[in-house]
Formats: sequence, structure tokens, C-alpha cells
Amino acid sequence: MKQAHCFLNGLGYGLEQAGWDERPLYIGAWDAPFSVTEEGKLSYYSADIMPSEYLRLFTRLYGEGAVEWYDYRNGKLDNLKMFLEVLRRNQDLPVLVQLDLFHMPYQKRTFQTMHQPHFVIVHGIRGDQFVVYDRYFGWEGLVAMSQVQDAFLSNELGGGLLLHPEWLHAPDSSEVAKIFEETIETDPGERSLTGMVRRRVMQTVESPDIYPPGSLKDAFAQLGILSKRKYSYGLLYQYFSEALTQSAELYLERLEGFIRMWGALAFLAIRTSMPGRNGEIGLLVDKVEQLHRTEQQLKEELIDVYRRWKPRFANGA
Amino acid sequence: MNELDIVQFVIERVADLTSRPELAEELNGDSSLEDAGVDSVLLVNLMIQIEQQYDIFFEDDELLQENFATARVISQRILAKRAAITEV
Repeated sequence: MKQAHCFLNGLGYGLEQAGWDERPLYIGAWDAPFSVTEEGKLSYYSADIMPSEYLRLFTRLYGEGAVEWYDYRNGKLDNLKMFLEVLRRNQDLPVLVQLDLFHMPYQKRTFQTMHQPHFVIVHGIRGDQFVVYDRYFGWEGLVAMSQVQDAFLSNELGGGLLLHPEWLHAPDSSEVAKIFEETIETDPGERSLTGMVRRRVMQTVESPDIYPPGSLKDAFAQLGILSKRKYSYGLLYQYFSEALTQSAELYLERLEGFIRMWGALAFLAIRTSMPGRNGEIGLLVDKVEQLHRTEQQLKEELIDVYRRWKPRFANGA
Repeated sequence: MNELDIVQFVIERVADLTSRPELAEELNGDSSLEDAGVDSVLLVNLMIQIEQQYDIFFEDDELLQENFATARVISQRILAKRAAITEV
């Protein structure tokens, strides 16, 4: 499973345990919400972005198989006690929890260097270690209980669910169709990733005193994480095309190129922010337009394969 | 200018940019720069230093993590770009 969105990848672990296809869960993840700080920094997390919308989607597709144990009204220590209690009482069940990557030793990029909220699965206890499954980074193994507790307490935000794979059911095709159509009709327009990136670049072009080129580096520091959400196009394309017994290979190749293009944009933004390289901002504008056009094409092709899938597999929708 | 010299230059710049002088001894041409602590900002700084040192320019479509994964990958790219300039 591609890394797309750590919360959804975590829920997908429960579906994998139950033996159900998790791909419909990623409908709309391509335009998952993100925040923009007052300084114009794009961020994949914020206190205003709650997982409740994804949870509703999960329940519609697979049933009531996720119970929220994290209480946002309580402090960190009370929630830590609850987390440990939930784990002790349900050692056979996967627990989704948001931690601070700063304390997670397997993630070299952030360990002891960068604070980042991130959802993982804890599924069992071995002595004084937790069994951790991080599907977003494709890692599983043991992490010391003390490190997980530190990661819980230092996390800027919070959240957690107890998953009950045995309570889940297979996704109903007509429900998949309804959700897909509701999502496709909700075009985020200027709130999309390309829309907000374009706006942020233009702020630097038009008001360099307020938004100097040097600030682009921080503004787009999380573009790599945000662009991974676009892998969700491929998951749905595969889901529909597999049922139609047609190949998704070419689509997935182009999607891979599209996501690499986002990576190139992030590097270009950093380069543009360096002294003496500010003149490259025009390249950034061109790149954003190119990304927008490519994304529209990918979206149209996804809608097209869906339209061929629906009459054969979701006629009741 | 040969691959070995460029690999050595890249490794020395990485050790300097990460403020970890021990990396000059520890890294080899195939070591992952990301694992050595080179994040995207340091990588762009490295690209700029390489451009200045070897009088080349990285086009925007070359700015991909995989093109700067190791000192050897970088050195091969530099040699290819220098060869293209010489041909012109």
C-alpha cells in the first residue's frame, strides 16, 4: 500500500486485518484538507483539522469498527493513561494513535531533530516494548514503551481510535459510488493544493515586502508530505480498473511522474528562496500551472474509469 | 576531473553542510545522503555549491531526490553535464 495519508493508512491496517479492500477509503484523499498559517506556510496538520470526516467515511463504507478513545477535552496525561489502559485491555486489537515522530527511532529524518504529528498502529505489547506498525513509512517492529510515551506526551496535537476488525464488513459498491460522486462534485477550487501553492507564489511575486522570496523555503517545507496524498488517485483508479479487468499501469506511471513533479517544485521553491536565485520565481509559476493541468487530466481519467465501472458494479447507486 | 574527485568533493560538502566532520571519513560514494542527515534544504545548498564548483546549472526538471541520492549518482550527473557542455 502506497504511503498516502497516515491516518487513512492506519485505518487501512484494521481493514487489512479484516480482509477487506481498503482502497475506497481513499476517495477524496487527493484533496484532503491542510492548513495555511498566517505566515503563509502550508501545513498537513493543525488543531482545526480533525479526523471526524474520515471516520464518517470509514463508517459509511465498512461499518462501526472504530471507537475513539482519545478525549480532546482532557489533557495529555489523562489521555496517556487512557491509551495505556486501552492497550492493556485490548492486546489483540490494533490501536491507532497519534505520536510525535521526534521520538520514533525508526524514522531517521525526524528522530531527535523534528517534531511532527503522525498516526501509527500499536498492536500488542512485548515486555517493555510496543509492537508498532507504521504503514505510511512501511515499517514495523518494536519500540520501547518509554519512547512511545515520550512521543505521545510531546505531540503537539493528539488523537486515537481502537479498531475492531471483526466488526467491519466489505464495502458496498453502491455506497462507494455515492461517496465517489459526492466527492467529485465538491471541487475545492482555489482551496486545492495547486490553488494554494499558486496563491502563495503570487503573494511573493506581488508583495515581496510581506512575503519575501526567502520565506518560500518554509512555506513549502511540507509539500512532499502533502503531495503523497495524490497517490489516492491511483488507489481508486486501480480499484475501478481491476474490476473492469483493464490495466492501470500507464495511469500509475503518469501519477508517479506527477508526484515527482511536486518534489521538483519543492526543491525549486527552496532554490528560489536562496540569495541570488530569486529570479527563478517565474519557473515556479510555470511549474504550478503544469501541475494543475496534469492533475485535472488525472482526475478526468479517474472519472472516466469510474463511469465505466458504475453501470456494471454499482447499478443501484 | 574524474568521478573519484567529484565523489570526494560531494562528501566533503555534505560533512560541512551537516556540521558533522566525521562524515568525511564515514561516507562513501554509495552512502545515502538522506540517511546522512541531508534534508531538502541542505540538498539544495549542496546543488548550488556543485553548480558553482563545476560551472553547471541544474534544470528544474532535474531537481528530483533520486538524482541526488548518493555522491556517486551526483558525480555521474555532473560528468554527463560537463561532457554535454564540452561537446557544444
